[in-house]
Amino acid sequence: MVIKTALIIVLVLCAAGLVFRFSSLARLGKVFNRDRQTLAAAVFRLDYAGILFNTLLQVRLFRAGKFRWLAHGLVFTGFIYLLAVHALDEWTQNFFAWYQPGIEPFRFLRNLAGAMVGLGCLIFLVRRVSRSRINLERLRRGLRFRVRGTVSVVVILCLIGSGFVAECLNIASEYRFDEMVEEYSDLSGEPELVHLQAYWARDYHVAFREALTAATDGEGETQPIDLEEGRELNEAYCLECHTRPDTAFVAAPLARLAGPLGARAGELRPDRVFYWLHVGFAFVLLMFFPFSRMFHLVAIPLATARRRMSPDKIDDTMGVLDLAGLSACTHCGFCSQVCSVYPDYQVSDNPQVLPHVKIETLKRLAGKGIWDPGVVMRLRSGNDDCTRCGLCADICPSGIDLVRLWTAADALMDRLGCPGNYTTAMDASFRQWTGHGHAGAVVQGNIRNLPGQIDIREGAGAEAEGLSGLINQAEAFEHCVQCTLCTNACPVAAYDLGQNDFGPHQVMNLLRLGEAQMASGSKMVWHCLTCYMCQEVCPQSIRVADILLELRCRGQARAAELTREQLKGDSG
Amino acid sequence: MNKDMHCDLLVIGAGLAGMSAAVRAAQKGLDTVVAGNPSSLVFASGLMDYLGVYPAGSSTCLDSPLEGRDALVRDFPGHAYAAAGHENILECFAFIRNILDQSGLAYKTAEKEGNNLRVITAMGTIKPSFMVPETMMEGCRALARGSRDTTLAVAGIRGLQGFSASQVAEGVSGLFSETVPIRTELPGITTVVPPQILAEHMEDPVVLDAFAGQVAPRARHAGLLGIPAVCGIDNSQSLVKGLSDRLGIPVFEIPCSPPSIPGLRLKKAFERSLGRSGVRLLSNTRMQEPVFDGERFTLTGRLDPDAIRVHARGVVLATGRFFGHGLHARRERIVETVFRLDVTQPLGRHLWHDKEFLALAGHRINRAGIDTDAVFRPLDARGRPVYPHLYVAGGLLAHNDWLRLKSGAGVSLVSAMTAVDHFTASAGGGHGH
Repeated sequence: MVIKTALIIVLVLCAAGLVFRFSSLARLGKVFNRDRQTLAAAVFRLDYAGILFNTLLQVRLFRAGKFRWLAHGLVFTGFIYLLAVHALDEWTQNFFAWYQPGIEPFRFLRNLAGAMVGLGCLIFLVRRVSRSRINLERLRRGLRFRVRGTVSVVVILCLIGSGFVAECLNIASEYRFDEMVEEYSDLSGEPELVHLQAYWARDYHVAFREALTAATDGEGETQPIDLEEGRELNEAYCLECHTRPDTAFVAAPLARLAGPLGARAGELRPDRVFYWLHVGFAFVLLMFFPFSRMFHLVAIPLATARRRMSPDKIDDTMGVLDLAGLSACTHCGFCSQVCSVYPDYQVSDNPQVLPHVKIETLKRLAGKGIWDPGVVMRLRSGNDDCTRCGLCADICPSGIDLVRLWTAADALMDRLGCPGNYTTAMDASFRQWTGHGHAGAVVQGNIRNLPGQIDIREGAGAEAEGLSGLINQAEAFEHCVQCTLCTNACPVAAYDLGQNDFGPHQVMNLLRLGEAQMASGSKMVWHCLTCYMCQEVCPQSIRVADILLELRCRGQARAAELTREQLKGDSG
Repeated sequence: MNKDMHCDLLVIGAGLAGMSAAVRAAQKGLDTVVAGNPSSLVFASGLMDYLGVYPAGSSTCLDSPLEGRDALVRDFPGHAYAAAGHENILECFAFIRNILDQSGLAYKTAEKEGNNLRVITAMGTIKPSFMVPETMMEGCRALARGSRDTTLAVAGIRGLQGFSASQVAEGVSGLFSETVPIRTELPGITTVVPPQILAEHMEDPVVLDAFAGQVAPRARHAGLLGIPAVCGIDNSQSLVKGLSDRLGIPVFEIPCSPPSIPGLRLKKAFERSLGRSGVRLLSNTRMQEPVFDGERFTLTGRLDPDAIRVHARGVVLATGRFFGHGLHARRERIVETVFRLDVTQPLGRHLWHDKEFLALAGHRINRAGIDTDAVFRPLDARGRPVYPHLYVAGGLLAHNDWLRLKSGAGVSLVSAMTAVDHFTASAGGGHGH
């Protein structure tokens, strides 16, 4: 009764959690520049084969990683069996008329299923701890991330462990034996009971506190233990529900070990304690199902049910941010291992290049908006580096249509006001780059009256580390004689026949005039190909290209600072 | 990272003197390294002078270098020409002409051997020179044979700074029966364009065709056409010839102010020659910290963040004057920047310059430089060579006001080649390591 009541409460909580999860996912899902029909088309175009194969057989996972597929298979198969035949036996035994938890093959199968789940979970745990292919430390993922990833696994392990302990204590428990005798037999006293006890002590591993040496009959006469009689009594009263437990290959050996201990605990009834613990863990697992890693059991079928977009269709659906798909991510990291621009991450050290990191940020971004401009700008930068090659989506074991997510992420960031990098780089003047300075006014010499004046000389652009500080050293450019060899050799200047911008020698002259800000506002700085021709031909050995590059780095760093400040202002 | 290079001869400086020394050394079979900035040649006009004016400030051009040579040697016994005979110098010009010819850049001298040519400049002036690019030759020929019955057309290009067809036409109007300035506009060029970029543009047949199309109607009655020296970079000779064929009149290039395309062509021709002969070029590298161990020089070139150590048995120092960083003017005196050699110079700063800033005869500082023996080895205080195989060539030499005397190429060539020849003869060819 208690269990049923508790179960109903837990089920209600779980259902409420699921409702909350789904409604929030639906709420956070977004359609950009498209109508609702587009969303519907994207969400409800079903892929039945995908549901079947990927949910039940996990074919995608098999393709991605055989070992992980094996672990998942163990846990999934074992758990489904335990859920259906063991946990829900009151309902399911209608399908097996001969079902009794204590007889074969059910006792063996339960142990087998439990062992499978336990083994699979252990594999998960070992992999979590030892996983080194994507260096989590480099991604600054702290303890929290690791704990979050392992909680569900640990709870399942506790559930399985408590189940096995409960079973073994149950096997060995004398109190349980007495209860069963009382309930299912008319044996009330010596010597028959003693014969049965002796038989059970030998074959069923029950641990009795008192040594069974002799039975005393009603007249007070002692007779030797007769195991043959015990066997006959067992056949009469017990065998229908209890075969010998040796096939319980986990619980039976445990019972032999733990039996005496359980017997000593005596009245405390450790078998009951662990039974309740077992039930408790099951309830905890059920209650937190919608909010734990376990949720991917629901999310993955949802995600795989969506038909993946073919490249020619992707334009039609790129504006759809499908949160249900997003939540199917289990941070397995396969995507980042195959990512085409992984080397970009190695160079730039921006984790937001990696798909599995991007997803996490994107989830937060969809829920909270721009909570940390720095992170969002890194996401923007990382997402801009993505080539949409689709390798991540091809390997994703959850079947998430990742390429669609990346395009939707751009749309989301556009809407939130986080400017893209490449669009401004195309415009390539500092004004457009930052949205702050005003290049036209700069050229006309009004720079000091500008709002949001860009000071790249002092302090600003502190992020641009590793720069040699050439633009702050007069000796680096003061020897320029304006001979124009650099501009003559410059392929960018050659392209600019209309002379719409400064040549390198004019940028050097701006530095000599102390106008570093104006210099960094020139298109030359942003168009420079760093071919180093200017530096190569300079008769004064001025590091022209290095200076142009430094102006660009500082300008970029300052532009990022300004954008961050603006985003802070907007969101705050 | 440090790198070591071993060679027979290290040439420091990649101007005309340095490049000439390098090609000469390569021809002599020496293992040669050149360290310097070949782009300094882009500041050269591309004309090669022997001796065009003497004395400095004289307003007449010498018909032949020989007319002023004796006086020059008499007045400045330490001048490079004092040590080198006329035939010797002619031979140097012939040598370099041959080298450049092999690199696809043709030079011409006057038809009357040993005479100067007269060249029309972008200033509208006449400048004496000894050897000029083939593309400039038609103008010199016209002036040499007498041009008073010829009409000269001068075509300017919009966007090319420092060249005004009107100015040239006006300047030389007395030498021709008529001078016609023509303005042209190249497709796609609406404003000022660096000359090198313009020259590359001119290599485009469409552009050259447009140019010819605009020039043709106005040059119809002219007997000669002058154009700024931006007619292509690598194929200037065929472009000028093609233009001449199409217009039916001789066409010649007029040298402009730097950056100079004929200088750029010279640079590229030298680089091709060096490449062919296996000379190693350390481009834009300044050699410093010289060490001499009694047999071998070791100098370090800094190429941030690397350093290259070059070990050589002989060194030709051709670093030029102030602009080339061969000389450096300190507050009280002028120093030589690599070896700290003695610089022959006015005794005090107050003597560096004449009171008149634009003095036609120049300033005494213009003649400051390194004094050498007859084979161009710098001398110590006692008048002995500082090192047996250290030579100085080109602008760095003392008594050498090449700008005013129009003698830059002659001094550079004769000093560079004499030095290399002496090194070859005295230190022997072949590999010394």
